[in-house]
Amino acid sequence: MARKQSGGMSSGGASWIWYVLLISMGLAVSPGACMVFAAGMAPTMVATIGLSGPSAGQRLLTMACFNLAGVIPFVFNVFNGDDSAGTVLVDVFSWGVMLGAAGCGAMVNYVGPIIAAQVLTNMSMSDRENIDKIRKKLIAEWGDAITK
Amino acid sequence: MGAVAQKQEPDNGRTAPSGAYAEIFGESLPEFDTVGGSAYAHLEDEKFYILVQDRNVPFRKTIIDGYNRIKASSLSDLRDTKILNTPQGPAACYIMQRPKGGKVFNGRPLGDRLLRSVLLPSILSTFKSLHDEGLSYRFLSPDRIYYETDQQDEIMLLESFSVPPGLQMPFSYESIAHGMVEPAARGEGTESDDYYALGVLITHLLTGRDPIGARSEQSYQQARMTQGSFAACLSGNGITGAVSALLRGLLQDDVEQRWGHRDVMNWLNGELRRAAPTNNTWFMPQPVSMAGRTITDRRALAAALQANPDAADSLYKRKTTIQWVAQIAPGSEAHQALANLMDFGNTTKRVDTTVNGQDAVLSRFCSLLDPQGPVRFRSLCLMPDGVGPFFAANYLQGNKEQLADLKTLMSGNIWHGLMEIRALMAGPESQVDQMNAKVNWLKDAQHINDGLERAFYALNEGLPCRTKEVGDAFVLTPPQLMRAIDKRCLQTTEGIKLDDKDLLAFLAARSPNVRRYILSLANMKPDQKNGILLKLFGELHLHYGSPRLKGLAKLFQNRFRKRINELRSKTRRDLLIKRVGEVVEEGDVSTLAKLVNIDRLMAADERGLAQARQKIKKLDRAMAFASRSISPADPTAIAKAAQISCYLGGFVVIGSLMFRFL
Repeated sequence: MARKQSGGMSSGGASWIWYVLLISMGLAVSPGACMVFAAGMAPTMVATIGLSGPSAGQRLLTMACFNLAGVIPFVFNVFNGDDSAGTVLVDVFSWGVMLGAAGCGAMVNYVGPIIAAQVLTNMSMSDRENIDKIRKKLIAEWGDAITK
Repeated sequence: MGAVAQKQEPDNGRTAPSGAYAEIFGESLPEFDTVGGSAYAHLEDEKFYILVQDRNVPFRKTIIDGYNRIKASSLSDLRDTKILNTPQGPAACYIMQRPKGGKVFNGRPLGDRLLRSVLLPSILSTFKSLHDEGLSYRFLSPDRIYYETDQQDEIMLLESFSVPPGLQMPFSYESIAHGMVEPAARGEGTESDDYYALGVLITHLLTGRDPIGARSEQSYQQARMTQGSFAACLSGNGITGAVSALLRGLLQDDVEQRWGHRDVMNWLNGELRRAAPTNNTWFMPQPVSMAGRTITDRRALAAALQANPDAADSLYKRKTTIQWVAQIAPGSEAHQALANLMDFGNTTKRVDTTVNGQDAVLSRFCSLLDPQGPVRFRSLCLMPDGVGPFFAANYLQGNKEQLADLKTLMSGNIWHGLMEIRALMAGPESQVDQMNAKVNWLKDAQHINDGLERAFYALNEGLPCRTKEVGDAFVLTPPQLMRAIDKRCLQTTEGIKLDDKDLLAFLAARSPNVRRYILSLANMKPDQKNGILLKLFGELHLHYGSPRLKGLAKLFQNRFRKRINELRSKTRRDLLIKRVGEVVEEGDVSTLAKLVNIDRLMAADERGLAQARQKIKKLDRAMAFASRSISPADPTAIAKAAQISCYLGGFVVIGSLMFRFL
């Protein structure tokens, strides 16, 4: 149980391993692209440390996906030689895109449960109606004694 | 019969209003009356008379059933059998051929010519027809012989089925064995008994007086035992010559030696043959003194022992008696079997010292002494095949002592022990086998209502059901009973007691296939009783293929209405009520019995209710779950949102890659 409750940390630890591994490989192939990637994915790394609670892994994955979507264009630009790592890392626009994408992920994680709660509440109403219908049918068949 | 006969149906078995039967019932004809039947002239056709059967006297069903098969006889013709409203209420009525020429015997001696040319051939052909069908006449008497027509060239014997066999036959016409028992217990007998009666009849007609003369029955019986029937019957009446030879043959006391049909026919044809001399096999070499008299006849000793049971104990335990039994027993095997049955001569066997046991030993000893004679047990003295009418007479008169003795005789192994002795000593008796089967059945049924009602009907197939639940209706068979109940149900608003002891006893005796239901009725609650009764009548309806029994079906519908309404399942209840209504309209009791298997229905209903209760509990739990408030912090909402967000994140990454490379 304790292990499950600290699931976020555990999944974060695994992510860290992958993250370090990826960066090590990247440094060997393209150090510039690797630097941009490491810097761009910083919000996710922070989230890995800080995110906990129910479904932490899935929420982190959501965050990582959004963050990655913002980092990918710049990483490939540096990798292809279209831009240098320094150009990208000093450009406000590129930081805005990468951090904005991560912010969108955080936003989705925040708004998602609110929308889901509303949808589930609407679905429960329909369930209640169905249950009530079946219950009334049973009472009509067997009489009130069935509830006693 | 004509259309004027008032059938029972219109009146449902109630006594017909005055005049309803007057159209066919003429004046009373006492000359044709019997103990069991009252005779009336038939107004429609003077060639017939109507014999109204007394419902308290068992008629001889075997004769009625065999009437169509009896051919070429001088027996009064049975034209028709109907259940009619009679001066005595609804009853079985027999339309009988009416003789026109008057009685043959008018108190004066008849001539030898009439005997040879008319009387004997007619009686012989009648006897032959009856005996070929396994029946006996057993009602021979000068009062029952008439000329068929005014020409007085042919005779007619009146019917013999309206009374139990031998009941109304003059004492002197019975053989020694049958003469020892009271009239109701004389039994069907055999053809040999008819020929014995014929011998007495011939003597009676030729001499003009009953051979018993002025003697009492007891002294006549004594004379027959000491001198033989021939000598006792013909004492001093002057019959000699050929007729004397005939009578010697017919009045032989040894059944094996007694003349039969062929012998008498030979005699009629002029063949001169002397009957075997009387061989008194009942003579005892060692006389026994008892109650101040010396007894030398085994039959008389049996009778004396029954009258003095205290004297018996010392007698049959004597060594000389055991030796004497060895002499009269037919073989060594039989002797050993008898010794075992008798409980004496066998020191290793524990002797039954109870009252029943001592009485049984005495009874067995009497059977040993007189194996062809009556069964003697306590107050009872009856022929084995005469149990039925004897039982009926005592049951109807309420003779508790005799009924108790009969019950003891039949319920243990006493009866079978006696029959074994009789079979070992005198050979098997076919009619006794049938009686044994009924006695076995009585043993099974005795634990309900002490079995007397069932014995009453089982032993007397010629007695109608006495239940008051169907009014005065004349009921002789289960289908008739069902129709009578049905009509009664349609007419009366009062409930009918279907578990009436007479009604059930009648059904148990007449319809063995429903006996198991009747046996299971004991100690049942009313609701359970109704269920079993419905099954019983359903099976009867199916078995006999009776027509629609709407009244009976309605009766059961009313009885089960409350139980059906107690069913909890509305669908099941409504469907059942609808289907029961349809079946009741059809009057189909057998289908109703299958449909309203109330115990099964109740059990299914209880099961259904339990399942429904479980379902309701599940629904309540689901409702409570569905009714809870769902906030964004609810783990379900978070999980759902996280799951969908993951997919969304995946799409965004793909979108980003596409944007970069396309």
